[in-house]
Amino acid sequence: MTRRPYLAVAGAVAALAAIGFSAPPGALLPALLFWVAVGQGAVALAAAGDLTRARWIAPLRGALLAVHPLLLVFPFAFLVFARGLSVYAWAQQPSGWLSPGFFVARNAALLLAVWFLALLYARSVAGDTPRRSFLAGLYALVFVFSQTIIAFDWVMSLEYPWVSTLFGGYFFVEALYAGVAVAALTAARQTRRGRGGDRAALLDAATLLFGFSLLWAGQFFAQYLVIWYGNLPHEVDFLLRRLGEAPLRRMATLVLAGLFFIPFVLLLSRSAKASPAVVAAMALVVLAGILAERLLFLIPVLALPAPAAALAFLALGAAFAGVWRGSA
Amino acid sequence: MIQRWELDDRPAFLARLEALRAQGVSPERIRVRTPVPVHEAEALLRVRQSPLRYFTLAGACAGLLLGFAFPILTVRSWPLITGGKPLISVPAFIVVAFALTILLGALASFFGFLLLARLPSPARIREPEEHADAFVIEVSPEDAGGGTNGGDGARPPLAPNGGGHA
Amino acid sequence: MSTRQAFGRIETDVLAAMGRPGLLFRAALAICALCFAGGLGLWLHQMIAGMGVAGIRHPVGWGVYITNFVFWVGIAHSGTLISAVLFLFRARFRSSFNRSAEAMTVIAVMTAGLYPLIHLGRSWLFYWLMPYPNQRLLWVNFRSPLVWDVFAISTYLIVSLVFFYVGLIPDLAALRRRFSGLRAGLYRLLSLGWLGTAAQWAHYNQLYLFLAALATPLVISVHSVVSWDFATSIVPGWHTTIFAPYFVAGAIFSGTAMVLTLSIPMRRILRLERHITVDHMESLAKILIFTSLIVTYAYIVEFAMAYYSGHLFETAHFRYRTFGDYRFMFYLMILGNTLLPLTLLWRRLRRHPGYLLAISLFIHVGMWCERFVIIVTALAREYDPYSWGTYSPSAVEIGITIGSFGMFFTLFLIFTKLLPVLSVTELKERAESPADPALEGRPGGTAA
Repeated sequence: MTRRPYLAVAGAVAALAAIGFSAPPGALLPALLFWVAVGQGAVALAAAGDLTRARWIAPLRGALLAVHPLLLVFPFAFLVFARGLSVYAWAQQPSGWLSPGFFVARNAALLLAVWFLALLYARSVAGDTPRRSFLAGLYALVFVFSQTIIAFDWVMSLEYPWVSTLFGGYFFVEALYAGVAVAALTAARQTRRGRGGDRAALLDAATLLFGFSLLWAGQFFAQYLVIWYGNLPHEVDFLLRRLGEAPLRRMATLVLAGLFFIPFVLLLSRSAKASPAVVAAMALVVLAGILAERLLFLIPVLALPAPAAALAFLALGAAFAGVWRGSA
Repeated sequence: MIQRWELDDRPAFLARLEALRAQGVSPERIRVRTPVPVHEAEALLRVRQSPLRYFTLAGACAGLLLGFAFPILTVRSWPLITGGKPLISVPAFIVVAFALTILLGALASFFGFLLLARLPSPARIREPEEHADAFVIEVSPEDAGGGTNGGDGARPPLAPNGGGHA
Repeated sequence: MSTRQAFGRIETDVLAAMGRPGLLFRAALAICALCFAGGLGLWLHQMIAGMGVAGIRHPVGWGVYITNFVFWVGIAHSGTLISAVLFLFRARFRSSFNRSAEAMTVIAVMTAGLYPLIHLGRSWLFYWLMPYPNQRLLWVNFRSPLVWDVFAISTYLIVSLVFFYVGLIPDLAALRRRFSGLRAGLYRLLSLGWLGTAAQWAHYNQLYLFLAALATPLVISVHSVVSWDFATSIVPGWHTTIFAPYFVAGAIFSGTAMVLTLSIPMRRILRLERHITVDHMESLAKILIFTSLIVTYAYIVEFAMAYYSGHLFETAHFRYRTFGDYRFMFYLMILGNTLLPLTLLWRRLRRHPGYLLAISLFIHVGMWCERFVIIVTALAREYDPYSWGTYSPSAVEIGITIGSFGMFFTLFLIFTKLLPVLSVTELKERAESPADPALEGRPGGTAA
């Protein structure tokens, strides 16, 4: 294992620390929310492939697992972000679950655990040890737990006391979706570089992307329908603020288009699924959609300092590119 | 005089088929019957890609349109507000449209298949051809009308000794 | 063994299963048919005497009938998962189960479809649920989840039937020569004169792919629609967004358990161990573990969110579920759905057919109790303490429940004798070629 990935990690942590300490609180949150989904999701997809004994994912697994050093950035970045817990209304009136100390401790511990299991899992895949399936399963469990807690703690508690039981599931499906997008990008890149036999992987990754667009749409609709139909005042506010008024409404339309309509329609035909350009474009559209959606969650409740948030996003993006491109 | 081979398995079947094509026998004269699908045979016999997907697409689009049009038109015919929801409640109608999309897509695919495969075929129901798991190749002579693949005309008479058995 | 011999052996094995029914079969069929007839008789009694013979009152207006409805629709989903979803994922173990799983789906949906009719009371007025032009210019309320049910379940029944039938066409064509008389005539008719030409197979493969692709969204959407029967209300315990994926996971969970319940005895009695191996059953067991974990996740999240939100009614509802009148069913539910499936993490247990059969029976109990607990506890205590009440099923309701199980098993037993329980064509494909087409030889020469 080269040390280059961990240099990228160290660089990212340093950059995020600099941004986090100098910018207003909450600056790191959008970038963290997005990249934690992409990073954890990519490794989760590899783990899912191992658990289901999928053969098609074999050429892509290396690149997906190469992302795991990035997961080490998140606990540290979270600790920097945790300086500014004033963005959460409950920070003034802490209760059992939502108290600053417990909040920071459990989230940092979970993020660290996810990184550690990803490391163990990646090592076992590289060495092809017999504990591979077991570690894949363990990672998957902790991944689900971590994404659920991220959803409920980092995002849902911004809107306290608003509750949606599907929120955790929604986040981990989106993280897997992001992982599939990374897999599709990997497959497109490998096909373009002319490695034979990757055509099949491209077709399968594109089909999975297509399927996940439908799955995501189902999840979104399940949450939306129940809240819309019940029309309970304490629940519906969440939707109204994001879908009811002009600027955010347009963003919501873009999210729907990017995460469902565009990939669904454009990946319908077999020739589209076999074309690296189309598949790569769709993967990027999906990732953009996920970013837009995370912003959509945050904007009504958080005063986002745009330049700092953008810088944080780019810093993590550079780190991701550093670990992923090397092996794709 | 029809030449006929009954082969035991896929490799022998494909070998014979390739030999026939190499001899210059045109695909229109060759008729095959297989117990399992053989993809390579489709390429050798120049079977065109099935146009079934157009039936599916047409059915699915029809279902989507119907699924929205029907609720919208009926609610406008008798506008009854229920549950405080708008008359044209898109989230509710999406569910109905989704179900009808899949239903009509599936039905259109099925009937399209029957049409394309020319089933049911009354002649074959009365007198089915039985091959007992063999991979069968029949080559009709050059001057005859020619059996078509998937075609269903009256069976031309077999020669007394047919072709060889592999 | 040559390919033709392998093919012949598959056919012989499947045909042996379709042979003359023995004493065991006749006895089982008689018992199940008796239960079915009893259930029908009780339904007739209910139609004559009125809905009062059922236990549903104010406040619990939905009881065992709706529980059974959701239960049977859930069971149906696993068949489609095995047929359609696993086909798209190219899982080879599916060929051992998909025919009987598809039959299970069709029969389960038919059984489930009876329950809205039973629950109507005046079942002869069922057609009011369908949108048809009438003299009063009335149309159905498309905004109601109950009407969505009509569309979703009808779609599911028709698409499952089509998928089941399409899969049967080449199988019946292969088997028809082995029968004579009426049965041969029936199979000749049902196989439509299938020839197996290259063009026909090309169209067939496309059809199967598209049907699988269309049926896959149904696996998720149909039970989501059923879950929205509850989630679109504002009752605490029902009004929660996680219901859709939670119900779908539960459906696949109970359905896979039913596939095991059906195929483990079937494989033993009909001597199909060669085609349904322990490896195949282990794959099903893994699906059980996965879906059990999702269901457990949903339980935990529901409880956690109720206490997190601090809503008085939510916390009260979950306290009632755990400590209230129906707590024993709740504990059974946890046992069958969460705790016992965890034992499947041990490989030796996963590969033991007897243990899998026992676990599957516990899962049926657990999942039925889960549906009952969700429906009845939420209605028994809503917001206003004055209207709190309880519900206990009457003899008629229990009898009709037993009748529905009788119907399901009667029809399934008839299926095993009338139609091939294994997908003959797919087993032939599985027998003759490994997954990698590059390994198929291109030599001249005869078969090995």
